[in-house]
Amino acid sequence: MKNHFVLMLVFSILTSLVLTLIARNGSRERLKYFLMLFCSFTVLSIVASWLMYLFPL
Amino acid sequence: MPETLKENQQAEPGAGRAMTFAACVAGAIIPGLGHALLRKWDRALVFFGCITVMFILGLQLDGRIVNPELGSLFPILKFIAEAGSGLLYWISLLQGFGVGDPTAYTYDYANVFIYVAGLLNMLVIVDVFDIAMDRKQ
Repeated sequence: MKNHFVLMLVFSILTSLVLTLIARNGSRERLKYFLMLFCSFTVLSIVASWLMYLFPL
Repeated sequence: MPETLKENQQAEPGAGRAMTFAACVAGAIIPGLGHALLRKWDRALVFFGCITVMFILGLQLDGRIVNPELGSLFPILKFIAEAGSGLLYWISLLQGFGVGDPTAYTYDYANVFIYVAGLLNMLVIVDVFDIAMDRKQ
């Protein structure tokens, strides 16, 4: 498992799970918060990577 | 409310001071153990699973375990972040795991996994404290 995108997804899932259980109670609220966190991690990472692509070192 | 009951509630909030302390220390040593002591089994399992998987993945991907050195600022911050994982960090350090390979394709990712595992465990300990003090369910 050396694919950076897969590792980013694994990181997002694990971190979102822990943060969701800390921040929310109730299964419905937890599911919504988890999906919101996971999507935020994933989408913002892709956006940030494209922004970095425009400004190479 | 009767006066004695009111005094008792002020003196012993939530799970009691000894139990609060024990749960926080247990959580600092093994991720999720504090919640298990407070009988929050679902959270205990998820916290233990997630933090342990993150830490072990970090080691597997050629991450580096930082030695506790009092030098410049960044190694100290890295040490604090990694040591947040508790026993996972100390076992890895003493067994010589996590030598780290800076030329590895996943070195940076691996280090982030290890740091974040420790930092998440610190948040988990704060959560244990809040539950034990009856500030949240």
